[in-house]
Amino acid sequence: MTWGVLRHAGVWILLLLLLGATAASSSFDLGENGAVLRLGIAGLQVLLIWLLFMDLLGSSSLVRLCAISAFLWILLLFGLTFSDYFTRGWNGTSTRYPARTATW
Amino acid sequence: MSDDPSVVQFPWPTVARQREGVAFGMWTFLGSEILFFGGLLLTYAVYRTLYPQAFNSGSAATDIFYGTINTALLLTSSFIMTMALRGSESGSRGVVAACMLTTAAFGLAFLAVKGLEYAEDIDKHLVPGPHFPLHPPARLFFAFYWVATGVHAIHLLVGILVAVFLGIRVALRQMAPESTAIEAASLYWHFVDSVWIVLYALIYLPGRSGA
Amino acid sequence: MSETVSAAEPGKAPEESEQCESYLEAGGHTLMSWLTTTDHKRIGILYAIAITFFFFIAGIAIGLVRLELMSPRGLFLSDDEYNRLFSLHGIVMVWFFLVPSIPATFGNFFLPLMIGAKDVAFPRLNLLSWYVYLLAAGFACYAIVAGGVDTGWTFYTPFSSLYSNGNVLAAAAGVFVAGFSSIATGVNFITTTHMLRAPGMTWFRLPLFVWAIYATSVVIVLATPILAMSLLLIIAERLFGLPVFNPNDGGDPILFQHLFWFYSHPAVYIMILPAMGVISEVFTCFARRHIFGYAMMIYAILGIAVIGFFVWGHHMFVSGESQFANLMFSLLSFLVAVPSAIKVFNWTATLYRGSISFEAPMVYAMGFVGLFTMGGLTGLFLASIPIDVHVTDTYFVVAHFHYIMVGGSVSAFFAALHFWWPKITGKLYSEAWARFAAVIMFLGFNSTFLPQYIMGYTGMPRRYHVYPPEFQAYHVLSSMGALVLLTAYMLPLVYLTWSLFHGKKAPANPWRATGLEWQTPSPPPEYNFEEIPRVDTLPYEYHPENQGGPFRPQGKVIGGK
Repeated sequence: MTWGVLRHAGVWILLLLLLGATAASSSFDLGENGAVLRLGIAGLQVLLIWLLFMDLLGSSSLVRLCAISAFLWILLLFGLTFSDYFTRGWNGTSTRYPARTATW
Repeated sequence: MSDDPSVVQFPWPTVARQREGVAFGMWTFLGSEILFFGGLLLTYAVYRTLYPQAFNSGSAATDIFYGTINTALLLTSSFIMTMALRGSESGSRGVVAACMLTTAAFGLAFLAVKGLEYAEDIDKHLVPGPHFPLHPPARLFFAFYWVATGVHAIHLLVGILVAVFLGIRVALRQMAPESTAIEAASLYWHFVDSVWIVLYALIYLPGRSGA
Repeated sequence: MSETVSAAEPGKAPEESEQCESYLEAGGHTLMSWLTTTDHKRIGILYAIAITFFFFIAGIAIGLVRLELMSPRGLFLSDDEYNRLFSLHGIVMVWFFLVPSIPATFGNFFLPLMIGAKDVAFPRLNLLSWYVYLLAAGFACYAIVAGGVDTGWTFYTPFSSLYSNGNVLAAAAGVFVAGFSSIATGVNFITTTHMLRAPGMTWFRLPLFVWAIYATSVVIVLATPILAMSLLLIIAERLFGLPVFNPNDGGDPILFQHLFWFYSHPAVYIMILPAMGVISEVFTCFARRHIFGYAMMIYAILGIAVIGFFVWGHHMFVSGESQFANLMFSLLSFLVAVPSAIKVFNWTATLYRGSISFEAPMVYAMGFVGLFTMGGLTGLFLASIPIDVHVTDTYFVVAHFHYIMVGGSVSAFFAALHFWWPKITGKLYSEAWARFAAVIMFLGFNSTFLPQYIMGYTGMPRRYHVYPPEFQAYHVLSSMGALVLLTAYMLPLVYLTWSLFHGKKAPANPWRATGLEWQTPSPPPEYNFEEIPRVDTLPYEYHPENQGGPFRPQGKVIGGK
């Protein structure tokens, strides 16, 4: 029981350290790598919370399936939507990317 | 705590089965919630792809100090919530009640900080409107900012109400500390916390290096 | 159908209904006992009452529309009134009737019964979902009474968020809240199916209706939140002026369509999958045959549920979506026809060499298969880009989805209503009237919507009440058909209500069906079974080999001696 609390306390401190790291990294110009780093750290934090605080690690495969399928569906949503946005330019002049027609 | 009549509810045959069912049901609901926020993140992703500079300038206009404090508050609240669940597993009424109420207090602190931040944003005309100071597509960023933080705040408010309600019921002996509702509430709380972590990375951090 | 039950029963027939109170008796007859019930059977009936009300509200709206369309110049409506009426029809029919129709009524009532459970996993959440539905209905009623909405059921931006002068906020809020009700029901059903199946009720012994409701619930849980978000963004744009889809600020209205159709295409499967489940139950029972290709039917249900998420872009072929995405969505849309076709072929094969009888549920179900096939095949026309560009926003599209939703889902709703009516109420209805209504419904439906295919293909656009006179003949035919259809919908209201008071008492298993729901008295006792049944066989064991007797129930009540 105390061991469990200690373990969660460790995770909590790790989460705060990651928060410090990501906040600090934002003041350095890392270009597009910066976005990858920030999202990577956020992903890691979320993963820690889900696996340890929400105990996905110790849960039944059924419960894990819920979390996984939700993510597959997010991928589906993003993938199919961006298959439209990334290929809008192929249309020629009929339907432009909104950015190119904007006046500002 | 095996088949405590105050814990097991109709139509579940045993507490263990009920516990499994509540966790599974809650995760099913959270799957739904993931997609709810997923739709919001899609608008962010699409518009950020279209207008990267405007989104960076929008991010730079937010207040990273408030954002970081709030993230730390929520991470801490989540840690306390894990102790509430631990107390529930060992059946200690005092731990559950105290930890639930402390968690809720951290949630309230988050909302208070958020309120200060909102007041400042409104002062700076960061609500898309006639006096909005940034380049037009940054209005899209701030539309996302208000909707995302607002929806998150509502989720958090629900979490706070649930935590206070359960904490008080456990403290007043109206509910067994082993109740499966404690685990359901903790799953929900952690989830709302993890949503904020993603929002923090998307809203506050980009565009700060001045490049 | 007047044959007796007990002869065929191995073990004993659960006829001693005298000793256990039915769910209608237990808990009392007061209004409060209904409004505070957590019994899934009573909640199913509460839902049935609510959706019937909305069915007729939306029906009246479209009745006025059809009347208006009798003349090419319009008869009595202004442009604005016309827009509001068809929008009202669409919004109410989709979210307040079709989406909750079969799952929330028959699903609620029969899912626990068919898997041998005492109730759904979270009974109080189940009741809450009904109240949330009522709250949503309140918003919708306010939107109607305050003057209506003119956006069509699709709420397309930027019209809905910036320009419309209708009550978009109230309507969107109504649909948003209704989504919570759907999700609560979905979560409940998924958990129930996973956790509360009776001993021996393995996944590959589940009746197909249970599989269909399960798959529907998964679709509900994964798709509805995206609808909620898209409506929330409209509300944010309209109420708070936050630019989300506004092109003046660089927003993209097509993004709204992506979000909306990510839900609304799977929503078609939310409406049709439960219907497919009903048809499998009815066909096997009245053809006295094992379902053909049971496992394939399950894979087809799951296939439809999953592939249904891959096709939403076919609603956007002319929206400005990229040509590449058009091609991809077109291909994927053709794919979803495969599992649907598997189901139709399997139903047909189930009938082959069956001893078919034409009781009312079977007549409705037969109507379903024909109409669904027509709706499905014209769906393939629409999945093909060149034809879709030609018929986009014409009556061809209107006819297509009404064949699926009215010809399909509503027919199946009535099949389910007649199939399970004796179980729900404990009363038998008039078979002759029921068959008559089924035939009238089929004829009325076809004369309403068949002309719409033709006029749509020759160029009649949807959502106009002033049109070239060459289309008048079709419109008059369609309106006449609508009148017949209205009559057909009123008939069950009369003879079913009549049966409540004067109908003969129904035996436990009037159709000699195999499902667990028939192995308990009609109407069922409060906790469904006196004892949790034990399941020892596949569903649909009609004419079992080496068993003797015309059918073998899926299970019998443990210790029910």
